[in-house]
Amino acid sequence: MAKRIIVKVPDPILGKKCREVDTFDERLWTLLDDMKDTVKAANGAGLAAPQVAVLKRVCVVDTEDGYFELINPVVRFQSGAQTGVEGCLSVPKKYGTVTRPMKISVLAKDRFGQDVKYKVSGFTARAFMHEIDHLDGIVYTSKAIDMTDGE
Amino acid sequence: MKKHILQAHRILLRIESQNAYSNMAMYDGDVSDMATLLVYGVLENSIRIDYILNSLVSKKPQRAINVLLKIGVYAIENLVDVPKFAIVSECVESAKALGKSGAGGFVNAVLKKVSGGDYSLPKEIDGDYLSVTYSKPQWFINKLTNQYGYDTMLEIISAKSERLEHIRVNSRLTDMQSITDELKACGESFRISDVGGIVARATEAVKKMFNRGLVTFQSPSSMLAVQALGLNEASDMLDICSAPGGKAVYASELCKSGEITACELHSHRIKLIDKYVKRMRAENVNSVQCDATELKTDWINKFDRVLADVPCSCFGTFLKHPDVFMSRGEEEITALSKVQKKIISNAARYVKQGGILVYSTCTLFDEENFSVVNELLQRREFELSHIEALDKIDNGKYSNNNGSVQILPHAEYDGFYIAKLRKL
Repeated sequence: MAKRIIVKVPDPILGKKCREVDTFDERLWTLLDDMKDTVKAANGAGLAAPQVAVLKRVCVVDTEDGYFELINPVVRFQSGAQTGVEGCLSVPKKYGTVTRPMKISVLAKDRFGQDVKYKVSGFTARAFMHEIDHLDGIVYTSKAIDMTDGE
Repeated sequence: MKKHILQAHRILLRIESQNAYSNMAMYDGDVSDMATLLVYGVLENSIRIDYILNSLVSKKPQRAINVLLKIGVYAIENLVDVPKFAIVSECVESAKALGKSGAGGFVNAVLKKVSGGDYSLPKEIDGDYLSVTYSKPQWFINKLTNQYGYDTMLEIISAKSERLEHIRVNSRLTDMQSITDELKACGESFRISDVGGIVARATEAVKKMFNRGLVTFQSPSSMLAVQALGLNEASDMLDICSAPGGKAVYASELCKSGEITACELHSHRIKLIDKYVKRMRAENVNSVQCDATELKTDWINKFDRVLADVPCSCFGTFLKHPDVFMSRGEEEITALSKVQKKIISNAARYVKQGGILVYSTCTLFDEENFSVVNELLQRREFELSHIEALDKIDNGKYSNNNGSVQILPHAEYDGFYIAKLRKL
């Protein structure tokens, strides 16, 4: 278990599309454990593998609804809309307003390669969408309607 | 003192009788500073000590006693803090502890003569003067003189080890600032090296950081070989003789969105790569077992960068591995040169057009270095290319950096060779 260094913009790795995970081995588990340590230590709501310089379709989300590990996640359904402020551990001290779906259904794998389905809404849905975007090289700043510094 | 002598004795016996490498034998459990000093001291001065003992003892004693005498001679000549008579008596006690109490009188007699200065060394006019004084094999000195000339040869054989480790910071888990802060907090002295590493002692604090994957031990020459590749963000790279994986992992840190293929012949060495990769969290390194001397057709023209850090005689590393002369001889150079030529010609085919091949060894002799590269250059598929990474180190009169550079052993640097070749 270890904390990893979080990559910050404008590192080009954040713009890269990630590869699917096909082996669910100890190396993946180490990555997931490290990402947990990293996101907890940074007090973030989620973290995607490219943010620790790993181009794999892996992300974690940590909200009031629980702690989620998503591998190869795909958004199956989405409905409604919410507009609110979000931030990102890779874009320090900045915040932006982004419109996201209100409710989503996501199909993913767990750390052992088993299919898992998540139905989430509200802030957790926002965090899921934000992290899944990272896996396609999308940072929220490109979707934000406006950006603010500081608080 | 007896405890340290016995510990050093056990390690030296393993190196001599089982051909264990000094660094492997040393990392085996807790070795006291004094024992470490004795082991390296004996290894570095092996030829000189043998000469002294030969002049005093007509028939070579059995191995265990001979090793004990060597430790005794080194200690008497070099440990200024311990009185000579005490060293003699501790060695006699050690002989008893080794179950050789019958040899106690013999050890006592020989070492008393040594402490009395009652032995002869070759004079400057003698042929073996340099070999004995600097404790290097005669063939090594002759070969260096032929290639480099007398003055440079003298510079090489008189280089002294700093007995410090070169450490590289894992950029995935931490940064230079945090590591230097932690070292300062532990009261360690250290300095930043020209290649971007840290030169320090391998203390407990450093070993702890190593186990956590925050730092790794990597020689500056290894780092330079990787830096010479000129990796950019998304290079696909092949490391053709990879184990234990240090260079592949460093490369993976320099191009985090590229893929590194680390190839190795032996399965037990593949395990070393996997262990290294896991400790350093190098997700984009994949190990593959394959024989670098056989052409792998599906790799042809596939890689942007290929590193051929080939098996070599390692004679450039005598500062760090003074036992290199015990485990290898001159005759191996020719055989290795053949293998190296096979590997470089395969490696050359794996490089994409416009891509870069780096060839590196840790030895000093032309047969394994430029001669190998030159054979490839004759085919006119590659050209030598200036190595920016080497501009920052001072290499005396060998600083002529045309893409084929020989570094001589000095300070924290091993003797090594790097050639950077661009595919036309």
